[in-house]
Amino acid sequence: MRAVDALLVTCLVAGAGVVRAQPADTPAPSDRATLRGSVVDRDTGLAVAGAIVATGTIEVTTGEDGSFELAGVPAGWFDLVVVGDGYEPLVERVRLGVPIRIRVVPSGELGDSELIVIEERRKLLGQTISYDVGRDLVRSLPGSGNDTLKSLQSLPGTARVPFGLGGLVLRGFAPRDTNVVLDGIEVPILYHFGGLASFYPSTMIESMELVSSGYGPRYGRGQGGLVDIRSRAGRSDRWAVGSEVSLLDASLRAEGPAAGGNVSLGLRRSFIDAVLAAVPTGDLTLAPRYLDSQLRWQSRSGKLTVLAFGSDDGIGLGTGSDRLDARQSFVRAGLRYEDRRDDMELSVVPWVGFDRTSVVTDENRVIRSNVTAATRATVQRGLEDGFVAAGLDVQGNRYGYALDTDAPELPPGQMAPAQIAGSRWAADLGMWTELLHRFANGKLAIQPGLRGDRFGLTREWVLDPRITFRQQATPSVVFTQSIGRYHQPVLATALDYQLPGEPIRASRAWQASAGVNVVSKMLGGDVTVNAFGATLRDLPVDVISGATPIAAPGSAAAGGVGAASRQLTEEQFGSYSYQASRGRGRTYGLETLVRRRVGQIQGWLAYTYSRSTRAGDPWAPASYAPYVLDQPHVLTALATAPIGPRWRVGARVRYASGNPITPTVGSYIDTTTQEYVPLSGSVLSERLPAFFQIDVRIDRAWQRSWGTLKLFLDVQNVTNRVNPEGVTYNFDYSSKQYTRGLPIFPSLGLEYTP
Amino acid sequence: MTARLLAWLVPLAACASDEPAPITEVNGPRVLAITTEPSALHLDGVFELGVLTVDPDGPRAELPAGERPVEAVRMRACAPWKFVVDPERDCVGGDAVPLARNANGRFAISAPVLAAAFPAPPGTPSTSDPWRAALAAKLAIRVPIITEVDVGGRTLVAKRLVDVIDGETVRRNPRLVDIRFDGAPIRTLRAGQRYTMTVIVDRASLDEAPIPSEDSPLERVTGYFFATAGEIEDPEASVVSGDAAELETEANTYTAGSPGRAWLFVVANDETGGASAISLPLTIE
Repeated sequence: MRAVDALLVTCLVAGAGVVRAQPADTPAPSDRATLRGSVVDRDTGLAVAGAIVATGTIEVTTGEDGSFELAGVPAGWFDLVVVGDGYEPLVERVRLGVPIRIRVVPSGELGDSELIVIEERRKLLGQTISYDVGRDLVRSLPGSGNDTLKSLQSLPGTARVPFGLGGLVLRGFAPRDTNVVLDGIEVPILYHFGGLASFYPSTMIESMELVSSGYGPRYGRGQGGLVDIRSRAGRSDRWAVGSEVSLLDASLRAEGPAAGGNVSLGLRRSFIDAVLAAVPTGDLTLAPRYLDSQLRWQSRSGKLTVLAFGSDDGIGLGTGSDRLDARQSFVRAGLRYEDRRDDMELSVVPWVGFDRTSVVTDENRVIRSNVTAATRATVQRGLEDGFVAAGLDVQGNRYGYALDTDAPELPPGQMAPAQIAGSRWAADLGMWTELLHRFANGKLAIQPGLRGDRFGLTREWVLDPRITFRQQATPSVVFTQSIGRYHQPVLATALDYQLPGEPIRASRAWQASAGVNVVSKMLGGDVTVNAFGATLRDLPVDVISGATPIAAPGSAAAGGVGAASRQLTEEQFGSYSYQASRGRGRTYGLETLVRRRVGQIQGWLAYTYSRSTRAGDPWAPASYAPYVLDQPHVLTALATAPIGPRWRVGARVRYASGNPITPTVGSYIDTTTQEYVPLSGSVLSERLPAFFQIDVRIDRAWQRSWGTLKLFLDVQNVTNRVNPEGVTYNFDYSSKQYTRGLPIFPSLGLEYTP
Repeated sequence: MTARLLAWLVPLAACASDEPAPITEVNGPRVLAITTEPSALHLDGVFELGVLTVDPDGPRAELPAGERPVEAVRMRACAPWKFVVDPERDCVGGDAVPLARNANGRFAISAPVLAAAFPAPPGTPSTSDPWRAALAAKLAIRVPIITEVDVGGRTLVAKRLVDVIDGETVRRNPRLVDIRFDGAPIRTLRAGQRYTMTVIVDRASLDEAPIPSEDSPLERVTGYFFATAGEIEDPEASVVSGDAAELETEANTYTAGSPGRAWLFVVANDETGGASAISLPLTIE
């Protein structure tokens, strides 16, 4: 095995040199120094002893604790090769000056195993602890339907969303508080309408990180968490075509060498509408559909990437003579230029986007659009003990709106507009700087940053300081702490209807967290514990919510499906209310992740205790009430294991506290409309019964010379348990029924990977 | 709009198994209507109010002297400048004026009394006659009336909005002339049989439509149907406009229940704030 490893190292180093090393880049001997780091198992975090780490002609073997010291390596960036017994070989470009932790992938897993997360990159974001997700592992996880991005909902700090509607509720923040970026390009919607699938196919994702809170100053315009997705480069050796067919959708992708680089293309279309059209449902017609497409080209040097992607969702509902058509679409196109010279790194990402949302009924018509042009630019210089970086983040938007619908009701005696239309221009400017300094032989680190933003819609200047501390107590124990301020601009939809004397401005959050990551041989994996807390100010609240009974279905504070759906769709559809920046919020909690690998069985246990409360609704009591998606206890346990060379089985168990609801304590009749009006009890003072669900998954792979064929059966809620997601009432609110959640939901699919 | 979208989605997802009793079925004490005479409150005028309370045995009298009287009735007018969503929160203290019974035993209130209690919306310039100034500025003034009825050991609460109008505006309550089954004024029906049901409205009692058109110069009237037994297909039906002296609602369907006595109630609300109610005893054979 050693001989094989040595041969492999030689080949890999030589290959890397052919592709990447240029004679002019070869540093002088005086520029050489020592690279320190460690090699760990990606799935368990355990040290990998005896792995060969090499660059050029320099080679060392990791010790018992997985650590290594590679003396005589060149300054700046260079290729590093790691080969460990029982692991996939790895070639990765790294940089001197920062001790690195390399995660290698166990060999023998289904599919290709390309995902390696180097800790240095994570620290660029400045967060305390993030959760990196291995693509191959999560694609075989039960309950995610072969969708990598859906697996984010199984990570700690993430609350459960009713009906699997999509959206991320991180550490008690609203879904709209979390930003999603793909290669530096902002993504407006992570999941297709209804949450059935994410906007980007798993096979085209290189890596992704979930930062629940506490990220650095490179990203702004959000007060919650961050999902950072990196797209995957296409093949450079030959063209290949893959596809996937399931009960929900079909996709086709192709990748190969083209135009001096590599290109990858993807297209996916659901056919749920066609299936439902074939099912007789009487007067009711339901036709949801989604479509997404992707194009990515990357130059041979890897410096230039061109990316375009789009999504189009629609749903048509009909009951007899009534009809509703809702549609939301977006397109993004941009390019990323990255260059590294000695200790300097430059990254520029200009992009443009177009969003459109429409809702049309027999009586109402709402159309919104948004044209965006933006650029992110980053320059970073490596220092002996860290780096210094600065960047620019500019964005211009033209928001168009045509609202032919009932305006939110004004107090008696005041006239509300019946129809409004127009457009708004807004330019957002963000600038930031960040420093990483390590000392005490790299065991301690401090990473301060500062970000300034101007929000065009409200013409505000804001300043957000953020700082992270890190202590490496032992090779296997790392402590991190962070504190920072985060501003979030108002939604353009919040400006549709405004009340004089009720200014609306950016909301803000102070976030703090402290955590520890322990890699333990005794546990057979790693344990991460993170405590977090945040205070929120100037949150938008409905100031004339007195027009709507608090407990009425669909009210923002009623709880249940209506309130949760409003949280998920507000950014696209708007709130149709008069809002003011009067709201306050608090979140705090503790999240734990235990990852283990026992033999071939791997999985994780994630538990989060979290409390999230809000105050400031002028019609609710002054004290804090639970946030509509506040779930004190969320537990996710999952495991997956191969059975022989072709089969893999897995299961996921989820438990979550029920979402809060506002009880009704009676009703009265409004004889003008002949409708009953509910009388509300304490706001969000009761909870739905707890959620519990078991998902299972079975994979069967056929590996042939022409590619890999994989058949998967993913069954959500395999016990068909009735999980209440909301409450419905009879006409006078004297009796109630629970809204049933997702019943047993099988997803059968076939995937071909060339 | 979001709420409307959600209102579509929620029932789709509900998968409810038990069908609750329909709103048309009177299976306990209920308040169906608050009636006023005249239909709106003139700036210098007085008006009287009444309440229609029913239960499975028919209408309950509002006054102690009537047949099967309720235990008590209380009414209060609320400030017209704010929403009244929860009466115990929004129509109490300085935001409420209790109504007293007049010599006829009817609840009554005058516009000047209300104008003195609730002179003008907060933040508006004060004038000697703010209500008249508001109407002159084309602002609507609608006074919420809260009614509490003690019946059968329970307190039923109802709300109605009453328009305040100037002296030149004409407002009438819609007058219900008759209820017909299969086109005839019959009161004895066969158990289990389906009947086409229409309500006849006096055309002369209808006011001009708020936005009159050539096709419908008169206001729209909607009838709401309730019964103590049997099944009503639609809870409401609109009056079909026309030139006849008596107008009919759209056809509704009533399926008579088991033999015995039943009551049919119809409440008619017009577009300009008027309301009428009718109680009809039926014999089911």
